[in-house]
Amino acid sequence: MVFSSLVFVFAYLPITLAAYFISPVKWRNAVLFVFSLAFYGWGEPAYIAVMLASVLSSYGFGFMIEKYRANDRRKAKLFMLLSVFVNLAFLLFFKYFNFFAHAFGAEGIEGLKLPVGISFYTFQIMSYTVDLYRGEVAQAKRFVPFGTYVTLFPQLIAGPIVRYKDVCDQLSARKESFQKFASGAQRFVCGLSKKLILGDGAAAAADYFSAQSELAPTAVGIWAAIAFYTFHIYYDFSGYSDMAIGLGRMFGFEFPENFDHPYVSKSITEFWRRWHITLSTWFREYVYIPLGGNRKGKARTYLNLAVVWLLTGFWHGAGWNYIMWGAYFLVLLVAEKAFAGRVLEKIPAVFSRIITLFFIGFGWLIFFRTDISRLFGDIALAFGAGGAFSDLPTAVDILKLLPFALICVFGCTGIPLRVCKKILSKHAKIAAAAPAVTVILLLICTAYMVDDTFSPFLYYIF
Amino acid sequence: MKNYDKITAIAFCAFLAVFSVLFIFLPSRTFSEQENRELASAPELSAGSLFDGTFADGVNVWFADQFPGRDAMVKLKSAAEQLLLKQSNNGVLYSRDQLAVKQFDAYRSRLYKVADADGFFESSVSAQADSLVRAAEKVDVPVITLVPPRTIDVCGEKFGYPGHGDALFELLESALSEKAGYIDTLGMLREGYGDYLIYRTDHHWTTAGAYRAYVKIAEKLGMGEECLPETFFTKEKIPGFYGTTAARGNFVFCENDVLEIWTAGDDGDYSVVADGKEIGGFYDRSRLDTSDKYSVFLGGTHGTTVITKKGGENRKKMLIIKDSFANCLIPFLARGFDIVALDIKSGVDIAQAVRTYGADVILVVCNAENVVSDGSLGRIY
Repeated sequence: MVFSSLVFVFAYLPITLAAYFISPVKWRNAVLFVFSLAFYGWGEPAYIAVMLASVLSSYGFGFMIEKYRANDRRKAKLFMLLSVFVNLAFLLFFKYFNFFAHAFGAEGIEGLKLPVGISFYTFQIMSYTVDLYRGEVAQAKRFVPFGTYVTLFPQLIAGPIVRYKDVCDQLSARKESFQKFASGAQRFVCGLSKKLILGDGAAAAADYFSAQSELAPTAVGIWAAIAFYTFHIYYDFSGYSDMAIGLGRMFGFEFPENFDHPYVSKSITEFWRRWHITLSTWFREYVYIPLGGNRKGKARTYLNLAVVWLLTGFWHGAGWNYIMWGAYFLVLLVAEKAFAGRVLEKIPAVFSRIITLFFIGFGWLIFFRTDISRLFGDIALAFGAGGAFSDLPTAVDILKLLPFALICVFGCTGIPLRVCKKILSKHAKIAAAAPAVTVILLLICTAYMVDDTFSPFLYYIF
Repeated sequence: MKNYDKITAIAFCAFLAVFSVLFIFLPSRTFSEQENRELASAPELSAGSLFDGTFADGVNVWFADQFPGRDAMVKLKSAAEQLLLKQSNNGVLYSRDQLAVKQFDAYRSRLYKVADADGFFESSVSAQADSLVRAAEKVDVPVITLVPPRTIDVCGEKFGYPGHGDALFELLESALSEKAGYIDTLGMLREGYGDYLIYRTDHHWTTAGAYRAYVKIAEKLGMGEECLPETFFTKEKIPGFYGTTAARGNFVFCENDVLEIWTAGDDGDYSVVADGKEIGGFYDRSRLDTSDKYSVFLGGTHGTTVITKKGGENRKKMLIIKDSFANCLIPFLARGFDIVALDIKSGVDIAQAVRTYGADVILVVCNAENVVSDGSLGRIY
């Protein structure tokens, strides 16, 4: 199920909220567990088994790691690695089997579908296993809270990647309150609006310019597509994270932030501190630092960076373009470490921002073009080869979408939030509008969801 | 602050609750006037549908189709898009006195490699034209072809796309002129755009537009002198018409259309039989009370429509292979010919049709959108 659907907002959510708040406190995790499984299984019930197998194995291995971790590090490590291996095996099989099969010229498995959210929950589970081995977190003794942690529906499908140590206390003791619920509801509606109103709109524009660039290739057209891909992925993904964080809050959870206005970054290094924060954190903590980080000399540091970034790229999808995308950022980050970082710091902020955004946007082209030959064609086109510079229809199309694009630009900055805070600090009474604004935005989002199946049966095809 | 939190929390929950409850208790609708289609009902639950995901998909569609206040919601979304200063909604471009669909869907099925800015697959259109020419060669009666343009082709400059459709129509003209009697309607409608020849809110031509096409057809057949003058007809005006384009765009502010029915004293002399049933004349006025007002002409689209003059007068026969654009054109043509009109959508074996119905002339009417996105011309073989 996805958050931005009528079934979720008007059936699943009210039922889950009602069941949760009616239940006595000690049953609430169990309620969340059961409902989260239903959320997950909606549409593809078979994959509940895959997820439960993953949960059960790491829960079971937890006992073995706990047993040996104080006095037999080798055995503890063995079980930790086993647990990680089992988890990764699921991920590798479902997500990457066909990729590797094709890469080696073999037949893939037809109809092998990726279980929703497997990339996210696998990483969450591994954080528990590794932290338990490291002694940074207590063993999850009871199954229900642990199962609830992994399957918790707000962050199950698209993050944030919540580490077990971040929420284990909240699993046993958390406080729900009106204040949390209200801020959660606002955050949810805010995320929903970002996704439906801006994200989907940008996606449609990006698709349009992208299709157009096949019919009448122009450099300006492909850059327009890139710009709207840039908006699309930000509003879609950060909107989803907002919804997740908001929903978590309604149930009393506090999840880590996942985005911090990434497009205002003045360097790629800064961008990755602001974009999908929980993923970068995960890779830093469970891959980069264990490999030695930057403490083992220059060569080793670069090697470690290479491992992390190729994996980061590959994590986003089983395709060559994703690996290229990771490699692309590796090159940029190494360049920044070596020399470009100092340049970006010296020049005026506005230039470093534009340069950074240029490279980010270009990255999204690599990200969205799963067809490699088309990717190379588009790259050439973006730099003036294989098409005109621009043509009239493209210019008109861009002009028509300019106001929407400016709204998208504005929304990416921290300005709207700052302005709201400033107004609120000066005129506290305006806070009284919060309930109305929330409901009106939700109403508009509902309209967008209803409109999604709007298909007047006209005789265009008669 | 605390107070507002409580209100926000309650308002949020109340919003969810109200719509869920309304959804459950409001009687479900089977038909949407606005969308002119059947609405989905609750999907059937079975082990199979649950596991393969079709149940979940069905529920999604069911929820959206039966959602309380669906029509108003759809309008609200359009208004929100306008607030965002987007000048289009659902692929419909907006200006106060003219709407136009700019069709992007055609590119989505990438069947052919294309190299044209107007958004059509050159190879598909060429293949359709070839097929029509081959079909025309099979029969020894003259064939006349009309491809009425899309609104955006007629008044593209109004939306910043001057010359939209030029490439498509050039291709059609060069392929069909000689061997399929192509008549240019694009130029005619562009020149006469100021005379209200196409609707503002509907993708069809107006009755006045159809009349001009009728004159052109008569001239092509060398029957220009037999053409009835405009003054022969009394123009009955039906105001308040919102057509297909408006239904798709759902704009809050847009001017509506005046639909005209051109009647004449001899209307009663003709018998109109649609799919074997006498429908009582050229115009089915009961359709004026529905959202689909354009179907007042010949009662909408039928598989086979046969029009004869009562009293058994022996007249020349015209076989028409058509889409809905011909519906408001046929009453004019019926003055000069007995008519058999076949729906292009079901596919027509032209030689077979001539054997079955007989024909002195064949007229093909197929609008550009159907050529581009449906390959309709290729259905004549």
